[in-house]
Amino acid sequence: MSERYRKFYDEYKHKLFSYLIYKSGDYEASKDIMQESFTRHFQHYGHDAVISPALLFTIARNALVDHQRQNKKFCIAEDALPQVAADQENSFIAKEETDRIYNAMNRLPEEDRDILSLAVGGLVYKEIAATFGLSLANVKVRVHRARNKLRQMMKDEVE
Amino acid sequence: MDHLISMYIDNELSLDEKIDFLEHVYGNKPYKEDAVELLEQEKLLSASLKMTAPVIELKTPHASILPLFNRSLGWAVAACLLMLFSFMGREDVTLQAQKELTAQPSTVLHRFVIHRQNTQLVEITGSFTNWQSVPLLPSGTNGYWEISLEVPAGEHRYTFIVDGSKFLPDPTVVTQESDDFGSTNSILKVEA
Repeated sequence: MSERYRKFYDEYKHKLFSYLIYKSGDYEASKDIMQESFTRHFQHYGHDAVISPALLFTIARNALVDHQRQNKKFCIAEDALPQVAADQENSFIAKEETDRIYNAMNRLPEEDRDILSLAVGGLVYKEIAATFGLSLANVKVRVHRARNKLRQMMKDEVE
Repeated sequence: MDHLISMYIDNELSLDEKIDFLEHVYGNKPYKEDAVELLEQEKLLSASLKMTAPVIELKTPHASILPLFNRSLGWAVAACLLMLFSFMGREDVTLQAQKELTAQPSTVLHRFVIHRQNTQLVEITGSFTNWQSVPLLPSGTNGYWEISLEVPAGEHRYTFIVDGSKFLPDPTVVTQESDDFGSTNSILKVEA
């Protein structure tokens, strides 16, 4: 593997994994799909003049659709949740907060969850636009709309 | 205008948009409260979403087979062949086999030239540079840029990069190939 692709891999592995976890809720499936996606992306596009993150995320999305078609279920694996706090009380609060946001994200329409997961994961709007075949202006509006919907869901849950 | 809040969160604002955003934040209290609420939500989202990827084995083509063959099996086969040829007493064949086994891939010094006036930087990237960008040097003051590189024998794809962003195929090479990003690579066949 070239040094160039290694750098690309280092830059995007966490972003892709975060996206897959939020989309699938399944740690092992996310790991497998990440491995498969990078492998296929490298084989087909690893030597191109410009290495495209959009193509990587498109490959991953398609692989995820195949996986979900076979399993037909979103479930949050316990080991998918990040370890955020050291002491027990803080850990409990953090876990509750994490569950709340996961549940709210899970209730978002598929497309909103897709776009918001990528934006929060750190993919730039230009690449999100290329991944979904949308205009940049459209992505700006949709990311914000997804954030607002999520906020509303979190509020509704509390009330 | 509301979407500027998300663009602010995602570091997507241009300088003009930053001015617009700040004017809204300072001039419109509900807008400011919206921005703060969404930033608080983002802290939560970010903490739960940004995850460390597990270590995976990236399967590259031939990666799992070729190194074994090259390093172990390859040497074993080479040694057996040499021994076999020695026993047969065929000196010419032995020498030929030794030459083949010790031969390095042949390379040819190839000069790349392009004419681009009013340009600050011209680079070349291709299979023979492992797709790393290598800058060309100005040749005189009349807009010519050139570089001579050792290119291994075989077929190569490459392109010039002008001022760091514009991809340009080599106008001196007829054979070209489009890639998936709307750019065109030149194809160079080098014979040893």
